[in-house]
Amino acid sequence: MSNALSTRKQILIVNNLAQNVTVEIGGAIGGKKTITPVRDVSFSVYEGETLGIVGESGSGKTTLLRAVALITKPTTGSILLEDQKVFDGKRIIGKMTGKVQMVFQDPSTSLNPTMKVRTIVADPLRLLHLSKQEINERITTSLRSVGLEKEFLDKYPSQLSGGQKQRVSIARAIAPRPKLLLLDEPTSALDAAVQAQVLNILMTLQKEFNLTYVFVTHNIAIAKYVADRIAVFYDGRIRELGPSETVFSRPLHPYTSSLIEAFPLPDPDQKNLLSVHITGEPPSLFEPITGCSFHPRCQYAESRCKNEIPLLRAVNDHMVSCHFAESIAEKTNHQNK
Amino acid sequence: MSVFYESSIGKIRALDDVSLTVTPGEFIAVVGESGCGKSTLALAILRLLPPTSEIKGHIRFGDIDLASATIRELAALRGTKIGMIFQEPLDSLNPIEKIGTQMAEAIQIKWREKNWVEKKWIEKKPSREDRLRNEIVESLRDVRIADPEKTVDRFPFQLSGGMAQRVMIAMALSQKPSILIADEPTSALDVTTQAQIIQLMKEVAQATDTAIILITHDLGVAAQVADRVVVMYAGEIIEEGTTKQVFQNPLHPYTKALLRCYPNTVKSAGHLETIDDRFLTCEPRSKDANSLVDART
Repeated sequence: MSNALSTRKQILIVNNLAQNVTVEIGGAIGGKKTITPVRDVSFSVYEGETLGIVGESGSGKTTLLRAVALITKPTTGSILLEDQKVFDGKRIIGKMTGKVQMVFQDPSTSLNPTMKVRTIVADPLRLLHLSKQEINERITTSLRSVGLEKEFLDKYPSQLSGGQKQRVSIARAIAPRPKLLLLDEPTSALDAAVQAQVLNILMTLQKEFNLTYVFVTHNIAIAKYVADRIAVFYDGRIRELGPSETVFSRPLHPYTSSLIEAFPLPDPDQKNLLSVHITGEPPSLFEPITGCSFHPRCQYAESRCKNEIPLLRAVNDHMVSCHFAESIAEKTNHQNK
Repeated sequence: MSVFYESSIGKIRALDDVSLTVTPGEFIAVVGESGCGKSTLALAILRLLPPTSEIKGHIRFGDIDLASATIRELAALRGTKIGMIFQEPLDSLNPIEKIGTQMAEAIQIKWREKNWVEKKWIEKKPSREDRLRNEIVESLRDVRIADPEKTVDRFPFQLSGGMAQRVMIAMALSQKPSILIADEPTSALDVTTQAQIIQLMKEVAQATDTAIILITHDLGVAAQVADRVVVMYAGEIIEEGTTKQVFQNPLHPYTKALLRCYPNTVKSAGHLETIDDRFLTCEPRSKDANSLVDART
C-alpha cells in the first residue's frame, strides 16, 4: 500500500465480516439450510477513493455489499464508519442514515414504478429533518448533477430509458449528501454507450462531492477504469487486494490471472480467449470445498491446498491469499527483469 | 450456401434491407446494442418470428428460400440443418424431463434420417436403449461435461448455467448442422465459463465444418473469435468486414463511437466517449438517422 493512501483517513473499516443466509429448500422433504456466502472478509476504504470489488456471479459480492450497508444483519465481524462502530458482532449500534447510500444493478426494479421522479429522489431525505424548501433544492441539484433537467421531475420510471433510470437512482443516492456510495453493478444492465455515460457521471460526481465509492462489478475492464484499489472476490473471500494497475499487470493469485485471461479484449490482434487454461465452474455454496476453495480449478494446486485455508497476507504491494503467492511473485519479478 | 435477406416486419421496420452471406465453416459475429435488430435477424432466418410479423425478401439456404418455405419444409430443416442456441440455456431445456430424454429426442431424429436399421445387426445387437445411451454419453463427453454418465439422469435445474449451455451445444451439434445460429449464448455466463463455452463452440464447429452466426452485444467476444463481423444499428447493417478491418480500421462513425465507449480501450482517468442519447434508441426512425450519426462525429 502506498504511503499516500495510508496517511489518508479510513472512512470504512470492515473486520472479519461473515454473513450467513438461511435458504429454504423446496421439494417433498424441504427444510432449511444455512449457507455462508461471505466468510471472514476484512478491508478498509480510504476517503475519496474507489475500491473495486471484482468477482463472478455467486461469489458473494452483492451479499457483502448488503451486509456492509446493514441491509442484512451480518453474522459476525465488525464495521466501523468514520471511526464509529456501527456493528459490533452482535448488534447494530450506530446509525448510517444519510452517510451511506446504495445504487443497485437493475434500475427498472430499484425504482418504485408508482412514484414520480420527484418523490423517488426525495425519499431518502425524509429522515433528515429538512425544510420543504431545502428538500426541493436538493432534488433539483442532485438531478442536475446527473444531467437531468426539471422536465423529468414529474415523470414516472416507465417513461424513462434504462440510462435515465439509472441516473435517477444515482440522483436519489446522492441527495442526502452521503460520504460513501455502495454501487452494486451499476452499469451491467446497460448498453456500452449508456454505460460509458453513467460511468462518466459517476466519476464527475466523485470529484464534485468528494465521494468514496465501493464499486462492485464482474467486468474487470470497468473495475480497472474506475477503481484506485481492487479486491478480487471468489467464493466468499477476498483473494487479492491491491492497487488496480498492479493487480491487473502483475496478478499474484492464480484466480486473478484466470479472470484477466478470460476477459475478451475487443482487439483481434490479442487473441486470449481461445487459449484460456481455466476449467470447471465456480463452486456451489451448498457443497463447501475444504482448504482453498479455488484448488479444483487451480493449475498450481498441491495437496496442501486441499487442507489448509491460505491466509490473506501482504506480498509485494498486494494482499494475497494463496499458499504460493510468494513464489508466483518471485517468478513475475524475474520475468519483468 | 448464401443467405440473402431483405425484410420489413409489420408496421415497424425492425430490419431494413439487410443482406448477409454466410459461407460454410465461417464464423460470423453480428454485433450491436439492444434493440438494434440482431435477435430479430436470427429469428427471421429460423422463421421463428411471431405470427404478427411479416418477412419481405429472400433467405436462401441451399436451394430453399426460407422466407417462403412451408411449415413442413421448415420443420425438416430446423434443428437438423440449421441449429440454434439461445441466451438462457435453462429456459431452452424442458424443466421436467431428464437431460438424457431430451438428448435422445435429438439423436433419434438423426437415426430416423440415416436409416440406422442396418447398424442394428452389428456385433452383439446391443439394445436400442443402450446404443442411444452410449451415443448421448459420447456427445456429452464431446462438449466436455465432467461426469456424462450421471448428467444423463439429471434434470435441467440440477445443472449450472455453463453445463446447461454445453448440453444445448451438444444437442444442436449432434445433428451436424451446416449452420448454427447462437443468440447471445454466453451473456448469462461468467467470464471464465464464457471463455470455455466460446472455445468449445469454435472447436466443435471447426471439427464439423459448421458455419456459425454468433449474435452478441460484446465486442470483445466478437473480436476474439469471429472471422467476419457485422455491425447493426437501428435495423440496418451499417458495417461489415473481416474482424481485423472492423476493429482496427472501422469506417462507419457508429462503429468508431461504439469501440471508443469501451473502458478497456482507453487509459484510466479522463472521460469515456459516449454516444448522444438520440442515437441510443433504436426505435423505428426516419431515414435521416444516418445524417444524425454523421453529425455526431
